[in-house]
Amino acid sequence: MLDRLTYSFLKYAKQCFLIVVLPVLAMMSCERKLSSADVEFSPVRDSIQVNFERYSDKSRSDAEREGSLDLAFEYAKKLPLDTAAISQYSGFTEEYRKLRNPVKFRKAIEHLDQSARKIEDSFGIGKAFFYYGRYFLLEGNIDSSFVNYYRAEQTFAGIGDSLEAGKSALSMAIIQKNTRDYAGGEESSILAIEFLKGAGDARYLSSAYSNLGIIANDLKRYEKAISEHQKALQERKRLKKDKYLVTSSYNNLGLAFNNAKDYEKAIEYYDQGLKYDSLIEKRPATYARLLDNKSYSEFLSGNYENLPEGFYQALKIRDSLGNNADKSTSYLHLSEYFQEQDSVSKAKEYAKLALDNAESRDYHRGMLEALTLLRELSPVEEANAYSGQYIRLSDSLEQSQLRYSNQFALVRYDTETIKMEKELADRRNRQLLILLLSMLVILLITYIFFQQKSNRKELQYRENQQNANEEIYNLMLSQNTKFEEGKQLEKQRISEELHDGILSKLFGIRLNLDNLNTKDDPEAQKQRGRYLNELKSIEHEVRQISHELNANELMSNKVFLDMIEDLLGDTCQANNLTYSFEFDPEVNWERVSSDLKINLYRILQESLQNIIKHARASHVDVRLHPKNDRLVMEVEDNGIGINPQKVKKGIGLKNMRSRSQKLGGEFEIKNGAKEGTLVSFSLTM
Amino acid sequence: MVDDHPMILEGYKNTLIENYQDHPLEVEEAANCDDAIRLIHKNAKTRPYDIALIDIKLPPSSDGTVVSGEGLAKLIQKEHKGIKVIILTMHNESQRINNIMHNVNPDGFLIKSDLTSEELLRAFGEVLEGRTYYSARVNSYFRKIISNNFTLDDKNLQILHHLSRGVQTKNLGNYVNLSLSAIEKRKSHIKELFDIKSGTDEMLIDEARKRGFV
Repeated sequence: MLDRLTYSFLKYAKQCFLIVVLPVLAMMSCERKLSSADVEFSPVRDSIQVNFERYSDKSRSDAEREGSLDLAFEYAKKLPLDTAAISQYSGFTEEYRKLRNPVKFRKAIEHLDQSARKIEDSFGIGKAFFYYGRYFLLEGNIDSSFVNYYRAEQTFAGIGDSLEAGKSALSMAIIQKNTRDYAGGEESSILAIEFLKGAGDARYLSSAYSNLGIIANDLKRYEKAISEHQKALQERKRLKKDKYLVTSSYNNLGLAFNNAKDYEKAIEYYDQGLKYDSLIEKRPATYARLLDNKSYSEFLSGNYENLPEGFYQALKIRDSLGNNADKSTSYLHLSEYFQEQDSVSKAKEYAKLALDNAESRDYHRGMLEALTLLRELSPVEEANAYSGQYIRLSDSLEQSQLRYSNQFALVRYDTETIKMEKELADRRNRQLLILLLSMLVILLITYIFFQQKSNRKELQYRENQQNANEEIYNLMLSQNTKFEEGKQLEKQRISEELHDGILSKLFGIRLNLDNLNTKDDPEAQKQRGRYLNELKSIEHEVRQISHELNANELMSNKVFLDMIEDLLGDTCQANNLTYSFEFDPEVNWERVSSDLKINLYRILQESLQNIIKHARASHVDVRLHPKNDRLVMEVEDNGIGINPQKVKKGIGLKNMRSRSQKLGGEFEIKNGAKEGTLVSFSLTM
Repeated sequence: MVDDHPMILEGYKNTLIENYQDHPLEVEEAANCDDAIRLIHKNAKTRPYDIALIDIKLPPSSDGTVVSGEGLAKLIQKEHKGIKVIILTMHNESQRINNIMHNVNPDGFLIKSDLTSEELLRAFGEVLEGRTYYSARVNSYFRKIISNNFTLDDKNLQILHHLSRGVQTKNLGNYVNLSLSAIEKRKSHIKELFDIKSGTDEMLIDEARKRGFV
C-alpha cells in the first residue's frame, strides 16, 4: 500500500508539477521570452495568425483554405516547444479531422504526439491518443481505435482531466455499443458518466446516457431505455450549444416507447421533435428520422391515416441528403407497410432496396431485417437462400461481436494484467522489504539479547564477587567469633585455673599457716617449711599461666598478618614472583574492624591479580603501616608500568576504587619510583 | 569434708582437730561427689555424720546426678536430714551467694577468700550447736539486698554479673539465654530501678556493686 500511495503521490505530484509548475514556468519563460522571444517569434506568430484567418475564411475555396491551414501549421511547427504550442498542435489536428483528410489528419496527430512526448505534456499525449482513436475509427480499425481511446482515457484520468477522460470513455462505449458488446458498452458508459459528472459537463454526459439507453433498447429493456433517454433529454435541455441534440433524444424516446408498444407516447415524442425550431432546415436528417419513425409508429398502431405519405416524405428528404443517409430504414418500413397491405411485390422491392442500401453501408442490422422480410415475402427456394444468408450473416456478426467483446475486454484486461503484474511486483517488493525489516529486527533483537546476556553475565559475576566477598567476610567473622570464643574459652580456662588451682591452693596454705601461727614447736616449723615449698610450686604455676597468657595475646595479632603473608606467599610462589612484606608491628589488629581487614585482604588479592595479568613483573613489595589515623597499604611492582588512561576502565580497578571509597579512603595509582606501578590505599581505621 | 584440693582439706583438719582435742572429731574426707555419696551412704545407718563441710566446686558424680557441692548439699538435706551442712565457696559474687542461699539454704555459709581458721572454728561451733553461721560477706550481702526495696531476678543478676566481668553487652547472649533486645530491655529496667536511667554501663555496675547485687 505504501508503494501505491507513493506511486499515486508521485503521479499526482508530477501532474501538479506539469499542470501547475510547467505551465507557470512556461508562462514565465514565455513572459521572460516575451521581451526576447516575442521579438524573436513574433513574425512566426503573425504568419500563423494570418494563415489561420485565411483558412477560416469560408468564402474561399476548400483547396485554398486547406493550403492556408497547411501553411499555418508549418509556421506553428517552428514555435518553441511548450504547452501553448502543444495546444496549438491539438487545435490543428482537430481542423484536419474536420477536413476529413486522413493523411494530413494522421500527420498532424503524429506531430502532436511527438511534441507532447518531448516535453512530457500528458495532456498532449492524451489528446494524441484520442485523435488516433478517431483516426482508426474512420479507417475502420475498430481494435486500434478502441485501444487508443483506452490509452487516452487512462492518460487523462492520470492527470485528472475528467472531461477528456469522459469523452474517451464515451467513445469507447459507443464503439462497444456498435459492435454489440453491450456489457462492455454499459461499463464504459457508466465510467464515462462518472468522469463527465465530475467534470460538470452536460453535452457528452447526455450522450453517455443516450448510449446506455440505446444499449438497453437493444437488450429489450425498454423501461430502462426510456429512463436513460429521459436523463439524456434533461441534460440536453440545459445545453446552450448543440441544442438540436434534444431532438435526437426525442427520437430515441420515441423509439423506446415504440418498442414498448406505447405508440401514443412514441408519437407524442416524435411530434415534439418534429416541432422543434426549424429542424427541417437545420437538421434535415433528424427531421426525416423523426418523421419516418413517427409514421412507423402510426403504422404499428393501426393508424394508416398519414401513410404511406409520411414514409415517402421522409424518404424524399433522405434522398436529397446523399448516399450515406439511412434510407434503408425507410425502405424497411415501406416494405413492412406494403407487406401489411398484401402488396407482396412492392414489399419485396423495398426489401431488396433496403438490403442493398444496408449492404453498401455495412448496416448489419438493416441487412438482417431486410433478409428476414425477403424470406417471409419469397417462395420457399428463394426464402431458403435468404435464410441461409441471414444465418451466415447472423453467425459472422455474432462471432465478430464475440471477438470484439473479447478484444475490448482484453484491452482493459491486458492493462489490468499489467496493473496486476505491477501490483504483484509491488507486493513482492513490499514483502521483500518486510522480510528485510524483520530480519533487521531479528538481528537487533538477537544483538540486544546477547547484550543482555553479557550484561547479565557481568551482573552475575559482580553478584558472585559480592557473594564471595560476603562469604569471606562471614568466614572471617565466624573465624573471628570462633577466635573470640576460643579466646573466651582460653580466658575462662585460665581464670578457672587461677581460681581453682592457684587460689584454692593458696587458701589451703594460708589456712594451714594461720593455724600454725600460734605454734612454735619444731613440728610446726617442719610444717611451715612444707607450706613454703608449696608456695614455691604455686609460683611456678603462676609463672606458667602468665606465659600462656602472654602467648595468647600475641596470637590475635598474628592471625590477620598471617593471612596476608600466606596470601602473598602463595600467590607469588604460584606466579614466580618474589615478594617482601613490611608491616608495623605496633598495630593492634584486634582493634581493627574485620570489615577493614577483609577489604584489605581483598584489595591485596586484586592488586596481585592485576600485577600477574598485566604488569609482567618479577617482584612485589607490600607495605602496611599506619599514618596519622589512617592505615596505608602500598603494593609496588617492578613491571611494565601502567597507562594512566587505561586506569579508569578495568573492572578490577573499579572494584578497588569502590572498595576504598566504601571504607572512606583513597586510592591512588602511579608509576613506581624506578619502574613498574605503585598502588596505594589509605583507609581510615 | 568434701573438697578436691588436699591442701584445703588438710587446713580444715588441722584447724578443727587442734581445737577439739577434748572432744575428738572423727573426720572423713572425700575429693569428689562419688566418694562423698559413697561415704554418706556407707555411714548412714550405722554412724551418720553430724556435719558436712562441702565445697561448691567439686568434680561431678560419675552418673551425672550430682554435679556440684550444691547438688550434694541438696541430696543430704533430702535424704539425710540429720546432717548439718556448711557450704564453702571461693565465689564471692553476690549472684552466687544468692543462688546458693535459694537452692541450698545451708546451715553454714563461708566464703573461702575471707576465711581465717578462727572464723572456721567459730562457724563450726555454731552449727554444731544447732545455730546457723554465715560469713560476714554473706551477711553484708543480705543487708544490702534487704535495703533495696526490690529484688532482681536470676536473669538480671546474671546480666549484671557478666557485665561486671567485662563481657560486652553484645556478647551477653552467649552467657545469658536471652536475645539481645531482651537483654537491653532488662538493662534499662535495672537502670530504672537503680535510679540511673541514662547511666552508662560503668555506672550500672558501680551501682550494682554498691547495692550488693554484684
